[in-house]
Amino acid sequence: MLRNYENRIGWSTSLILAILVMFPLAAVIIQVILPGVFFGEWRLGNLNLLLEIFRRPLWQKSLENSIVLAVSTTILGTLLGGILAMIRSNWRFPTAKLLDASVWMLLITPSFILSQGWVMFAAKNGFAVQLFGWDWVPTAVFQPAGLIMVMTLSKFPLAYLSVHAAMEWKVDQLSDAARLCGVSALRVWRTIQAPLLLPAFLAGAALVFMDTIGDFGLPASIAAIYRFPTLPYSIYTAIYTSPIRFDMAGVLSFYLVLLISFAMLLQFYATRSSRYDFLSARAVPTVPKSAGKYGVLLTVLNIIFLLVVIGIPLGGNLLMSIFRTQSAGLSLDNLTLSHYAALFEGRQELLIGLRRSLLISGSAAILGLLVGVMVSYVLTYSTFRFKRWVEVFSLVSLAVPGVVLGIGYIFVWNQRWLEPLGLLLYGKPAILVLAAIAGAIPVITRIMVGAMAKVPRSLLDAAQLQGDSFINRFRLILVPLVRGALLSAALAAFGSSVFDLAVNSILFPPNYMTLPVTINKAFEDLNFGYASAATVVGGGIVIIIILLLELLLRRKGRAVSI
Amino acid sequence: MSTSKPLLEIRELTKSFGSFQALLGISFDMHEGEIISVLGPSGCGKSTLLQLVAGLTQPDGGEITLSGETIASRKRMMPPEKRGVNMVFQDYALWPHMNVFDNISYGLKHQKMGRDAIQGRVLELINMLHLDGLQKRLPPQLSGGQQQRVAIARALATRPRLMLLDEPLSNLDMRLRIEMRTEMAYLFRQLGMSVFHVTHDPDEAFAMADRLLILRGGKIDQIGTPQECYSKPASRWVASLLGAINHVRGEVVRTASGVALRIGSTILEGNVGESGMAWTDGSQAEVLFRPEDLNITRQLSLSEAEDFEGLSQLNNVHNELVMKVMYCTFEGKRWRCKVELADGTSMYLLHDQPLEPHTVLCASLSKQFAYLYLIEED
Amino acid sequence: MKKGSARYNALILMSVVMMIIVSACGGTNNAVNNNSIAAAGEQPANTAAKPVEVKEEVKEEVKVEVKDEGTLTVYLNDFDEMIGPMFEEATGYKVELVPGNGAEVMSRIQAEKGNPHWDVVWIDAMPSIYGLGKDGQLLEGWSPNNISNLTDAYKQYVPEQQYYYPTGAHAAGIIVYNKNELTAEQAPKTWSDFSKSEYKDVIGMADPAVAAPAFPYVAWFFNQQEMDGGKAYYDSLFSNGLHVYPKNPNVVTALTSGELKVAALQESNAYKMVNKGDPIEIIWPEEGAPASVRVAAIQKQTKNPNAAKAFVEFLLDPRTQQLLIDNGEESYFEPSVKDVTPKADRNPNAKLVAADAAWASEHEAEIKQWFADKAVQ
Repeated sequence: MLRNYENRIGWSTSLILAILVMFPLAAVIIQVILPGVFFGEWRLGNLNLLLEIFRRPLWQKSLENSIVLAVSTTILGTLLGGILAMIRSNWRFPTAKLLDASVWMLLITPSFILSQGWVMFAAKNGFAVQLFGWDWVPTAVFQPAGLIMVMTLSKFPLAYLSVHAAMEWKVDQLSDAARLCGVSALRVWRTIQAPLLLPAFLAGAALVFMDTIGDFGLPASIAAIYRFPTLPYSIYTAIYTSPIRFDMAGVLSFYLVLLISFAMLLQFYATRSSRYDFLSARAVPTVPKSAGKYGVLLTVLNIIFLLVVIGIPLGGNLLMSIFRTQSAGLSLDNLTLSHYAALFEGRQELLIGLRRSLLISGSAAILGLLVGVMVSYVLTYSTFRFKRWVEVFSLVSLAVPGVVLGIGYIFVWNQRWLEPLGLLLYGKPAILVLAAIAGAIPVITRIMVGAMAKVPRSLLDAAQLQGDSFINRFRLILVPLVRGALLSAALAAFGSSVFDLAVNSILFPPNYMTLPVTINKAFEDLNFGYASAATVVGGGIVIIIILLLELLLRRKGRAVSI
Repeated sequence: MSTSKPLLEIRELTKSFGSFQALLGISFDMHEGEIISVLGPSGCGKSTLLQLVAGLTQPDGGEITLSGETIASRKRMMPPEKRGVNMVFQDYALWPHMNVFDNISYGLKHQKMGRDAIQGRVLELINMLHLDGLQKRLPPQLSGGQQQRVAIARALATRPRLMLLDEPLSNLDMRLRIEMRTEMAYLFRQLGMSVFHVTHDPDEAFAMADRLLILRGGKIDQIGTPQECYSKPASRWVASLLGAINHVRGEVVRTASGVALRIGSTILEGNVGESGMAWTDGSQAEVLFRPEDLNITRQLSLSEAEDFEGLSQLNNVHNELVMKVMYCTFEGKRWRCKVELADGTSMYLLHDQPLEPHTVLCASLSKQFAYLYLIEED
Repeated sequence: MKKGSARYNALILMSVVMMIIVSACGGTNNAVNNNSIAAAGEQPANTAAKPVEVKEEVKEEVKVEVKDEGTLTVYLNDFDEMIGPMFEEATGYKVELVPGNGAEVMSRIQAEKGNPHWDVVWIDAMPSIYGLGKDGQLLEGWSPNNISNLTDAYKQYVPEQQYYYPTGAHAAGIIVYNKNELTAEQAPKTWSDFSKSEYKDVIGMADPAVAAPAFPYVAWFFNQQEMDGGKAYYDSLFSNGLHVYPKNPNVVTALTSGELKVAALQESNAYKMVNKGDPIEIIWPEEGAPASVRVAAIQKQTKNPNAAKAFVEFLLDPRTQQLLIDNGEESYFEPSVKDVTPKADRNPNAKLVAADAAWASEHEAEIKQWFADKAVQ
């Protein structure tokens, strides 16, 4: 009964997360123990399967690759993102805003599109070789180190955002005190500023780790050229090769969840012993200083960097969409808009799919926002007993491959007894919305927790003592104070779920093809031009919608400082 | 003190956070129209007590009743918004996105008052707290003192049965602090408001309170009027909290007129509070007193001063100590001097003139200002 | 403040409305479809001969036996671009299609096992469908009227329990080579040529552990030479530097980029390359090309048995198969019924051979795992 509403919201949040994330995941993992449980069979599974990971060469290799890829990417991505964030918040230079925009673009663009772009660039007959004659690119990229680099360049935004958010406010006193002790600026940074940012770095690292280890797009796209099986890829193979082995997928998912839990534990213990709520009334917003003579250098470096991280993956898609054939290279008679024209011809599968995808991700963004805000509230303000579990399950869907959740959704939402309740959602568009919400929760929660951390609890307590209800406190105090973050979270969730392939491909209802399914089908049929044009058009429309909403809803001026 | 039913009753209240025990069973009553200041250092549990009364945390044990109704116990928990209490927060907790008017009127809107009634009430408060002309300002555009006044106005607006003040003046500078505490004491008394006030500043507590509640380590050390607490501190710890910062150790000696302490050759008679304890001869004890209660009786000549040690041995005037001046600092109205006894114990005394270092002097301490406490083996 | 709260109220409202719309979308579809089913009975059949007979029989069944409860749902991996309207026009039944690659279709079917949503599955993975039959998920013992249309060769493919009926087959792998790199003399003629040292490091194929059509291809070798013989054959290929790509399209890319000179390629991919003008020559080996047989099967507990049966009958109609060949995207296949002309440019002497479905189904897991583990070593 402690702080009644707090417990109530704690429990309801747990329930929602359980339905959206935990049950589907558990449904897949339970296949290991009871393979037929959802088909009315009660037989015990073969638990030896759990040990197979140390015996089967493919699984061993997958585990090894996953760990190598995730650990290296985590280290490099966190460093890259963290350093970029520090440069960005300390110095002012032209094109800095472009960096922010690119980070968001990378975050929203699904990894299969990014990876396709990299493949188009780096393949033997790719743009690097064809247009620039860089024969070394294919061998440089298609090897473990190259893949780690591609992954680092795709996943660093999570670390960037985490560190950047932490640097939004600073307490000059702490550094000033150190400077007055006669210590050099660099040492101040190393001994004072960097350690204070440690939690942000670790939080970023944990996110990068989870997103990388659960990534399916890269191994899937790269597999066409270079064999690099990872856990998600092997899960995919178990689920997508006849005879279908859900129990094997369950085993591999189990190990994946184990790895994620381990990473979260590590992060928890690293930050547990130290308290870092150093923000006091003395905190001032960080305002970047002029970079002076280094401004030009920073600008040039930034542009080169952006050309690589954005230019290559998105440029690859763009070029592919206007080339008649890829092998003919860049010449005037090889340029065509016919792929774009094809989108609007015939059955217009793509446009219908796009409309559906927009509708689904729009609903998912708004509903996901409600859930995400509840989760963030529980994590930020409540004393709810199972808070840590809420946190774990709010992140799990980042790391668990979409196919696993997708299969889990079928198990959970395709049970006969749900039919009379009208809840047999499998086979209905609503299930795509649910799955998209599950996918959007990590992004929304991360953004909202960051924003809520800056709203002191006493502002809410004050309203409560004024006699206000919980809903009103939420509506009149909290929401206006985190409005900006709400918008960012909703838009990020919207953008990222439009292209969410994995879940869509397993769950789309009859006669209800969505955008990513259509695009993927074109990729599979080797209609690269069509697929790329569809990606460009779809992505363009999503970006226009995001910009429009941003313009309409983001209120300028009236700076609110807390 | 009135004998009517108390407004707030607190019985055996306990609360812990993990392994940290914030409150260890607290009981007291508070009457209608009374101002109680809870005084104690940080970590003594005073903020927890306030949170419990406000309803922002639930007790582990014990009971809180407001106007005879149980508002919090282990089993029952009335939500804060239903309790009819309001609070001025330490950092004011003004909503940065609302202007002064909106901040103050926030709770009134919830009470379903008419527009005009709200307008009237807010203007009345704005007037009362000298905030005229600031209605449209946003909190970040106000000075610290103004923010404080808005916070008070906001808390008063809902006409709470009980007003809670959480270190309300700690964010203000010294001058404003003195101004505001006088003003608040006047305002709340004039309004007949029941106020539960938490602070770590004794001056603030003295200025505001009808009664003081001194908390230490989750327990009540003393409860009483400010004058009682000031003149009869119930513990060594309360004494030092309330300004008796000088302390000297000695041996207990029973005299005809009561209990005294032998310090060197001096016998120092003092107050023993509730003498339930065993004041046996020869046990170790300590005397605490305020610097301003030391009166210089004579300054010794330089030749006498040469033999400081010897003099200290010889002097056997009751309640008089021999000491040597180390240095003095100017405090405006008077000088604060750091002095040392022959055994090296240092203490402060106040004098209207500076004293030369190394001057040796005799100073007396009257019995009523000397608070004696046995040394407990902690 | 007023404005702000209004906006957030609106937002909440919007979300609710969206939710309703999304769920309503499904709802309306169903409603419309139900209507059309009701109407289906009265709709005059505009097709001649056999379908009409089928139609009448179905009508009788509707009267005496079960009624269809919903819309026919077909899971399929090809021809989704045309089969829906064709079928609806010919029979008056409404149909909903769930296209996907073979693996996705099978995965869905398995995940739905507790509560299947499909009525008919129609894919080119005979062993997998046989597996479904053995698992008791398929309608057994029903014989379509049009079974008499099947050629003798294809009658062989119908299992004893009558789980499914073949609608055609294409080569899961034929030999292709780059004619700019090799002359006709230099090119391999038979499958055993693949282990010759002159083709070291230039041969490729799709991964049977990943690509659905690649399994029937390798299964034939394993079926022919027994498990050990099959492993020995592929070991010899691996030691000859065999490249394995996840899917057939990747083999195509590797052929165009010059990474490969020779490949075992799925038939329609090969013909598409030739038609596109790629310098590719196709060889049909004399011992036969392993076939991928496309079969149609009905779900055991289907709620739409009439429409489902009509769909299978429809697929066994020569005119249907002719239309698939003439207009379909996967048009290079050998029809399963008589009186249908394959693509003119398809080799008329193409010899297709297939592994025994029961055997292939039984050894599917073992063979695939062997390949999967082989590929990472």
